[in-house]
Amino acid sequence: MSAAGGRSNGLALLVLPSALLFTLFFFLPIGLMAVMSLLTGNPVVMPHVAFTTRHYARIVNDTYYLEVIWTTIRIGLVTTLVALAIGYPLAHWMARIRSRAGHAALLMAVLAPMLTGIVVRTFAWMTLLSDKGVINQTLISLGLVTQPLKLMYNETGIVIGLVHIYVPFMVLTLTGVIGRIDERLEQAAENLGASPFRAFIEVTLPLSLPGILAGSLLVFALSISAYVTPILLGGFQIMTLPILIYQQISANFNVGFAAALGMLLLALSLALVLAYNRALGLVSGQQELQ
Amino acid sequence: MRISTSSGTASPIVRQSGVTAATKSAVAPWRWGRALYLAVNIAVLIFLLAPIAIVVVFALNPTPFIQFPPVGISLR
Repeated sequence: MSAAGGRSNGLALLVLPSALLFTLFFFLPIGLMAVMSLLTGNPVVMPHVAFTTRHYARIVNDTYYLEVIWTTIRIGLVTTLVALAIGYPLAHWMARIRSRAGHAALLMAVLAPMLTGIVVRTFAWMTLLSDKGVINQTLISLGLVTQPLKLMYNETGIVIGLVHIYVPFMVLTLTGVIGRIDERLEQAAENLGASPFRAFIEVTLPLSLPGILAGSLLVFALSISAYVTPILLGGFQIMTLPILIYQQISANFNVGFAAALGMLLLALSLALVLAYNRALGLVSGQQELQ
Repeated sequence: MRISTSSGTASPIVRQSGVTAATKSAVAPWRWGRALYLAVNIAVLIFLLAPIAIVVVFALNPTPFIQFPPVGISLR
C-alpha cells in the first residue's frame, strides 16, 4: 500500500466517528421526517401508503397555519432582539470587568437561572405576571394602575419568559467574543478623540458582530422551537408551531402533517440563517471597503 | 499612559485632575453614560434573578395558595 493510500485510510478512520454521529443524530431523523411529510399515512401502522404533497398544500392553502408560522417567527425575532439588547451590555460588562470576584459573581448571576428548571422558572414568571401577581399587585397598591395589566396569556408574557430563559445563551456567547477584542483598540480610538460611546460604536460593536450573529441564531433557533413556555405563559391563547406539531401528533395522530410542519419550520430557520449570514457579510464587506 | 486630545474630549489623566470647568463639562456626559451603563446592567441582573427570588419567597408561603404580599413564613 502506498503512503498516500495509508494517509487517506487514516483520514477516513478519523472522519468516521463524526460521520456516524451526523448520520445517526442529524441526517437520519431529518430524512425520516422529510419522507413522513410526503406519505399519505404512517408506514409503521399502515402497510399501503403512497407519496403525496397534500400536507404541504394544506399548510399553504389554509391561512390559519400561515398565521401560526408568522406568530412563531414573530415571537422568535422579538425574543432575539430583546435578548440581544439586554444581553449585550451585560456581556460587555462581564468581558471588561477587571475584578476576578466581580467576574465570578456576574457569571454566577447569569448562570443561576440556567440551574433552575424551565418549568420552575416559567411558574415563577406566572406568579410575577398574573392578574393577581407580584407586578400587578405592586402597581395597583402604588396607585399607578387601576386595572391589572395584561402581562400573561399573550405574546408579551411568552416573550418575557423566553427572553429570561435564553438571555444567558446570548450573554455567554457574546462575552467570549467581546473578551477577545483587544481593549487597547478602544483606548486608541479614545486617544484619537473619540468619545467612549463612539469608540464602542466604531470599534467594539463591529468587531463583536460574529458573536452577535452566533448568539442571535442560537436564541432564535431555541425560541421558535420552545414548547413549555409558550404553553404555560400563552395558555393556549397563542398558537406556535411546536404546540401545533405536538397537537397533530398527540391529539390528531396526523404524523405526516406534523412532519410537514416540522420541515417547514426547519426550512424557515435555514432561510433566515442564510439571510442573516448574507446581511452580515454585506455589512462586514462595507466596513472593509471603508 | 493616555494623552489628552485637542477635540476637547477628556482623557483619563485630565479626568482625574478635574481642574477646569471645561474639563468638568466634558466629563459630565461620560459619567452619565457610565451611570446609565451600570443601571441597565443592574436592571438586567434583577430581571435574571427575580424569578429565582420569587421561588424562594413563595416556597416559604404559609397559605395554601400563592398570596402577595406574603402573610408569613412557614416551613410546612
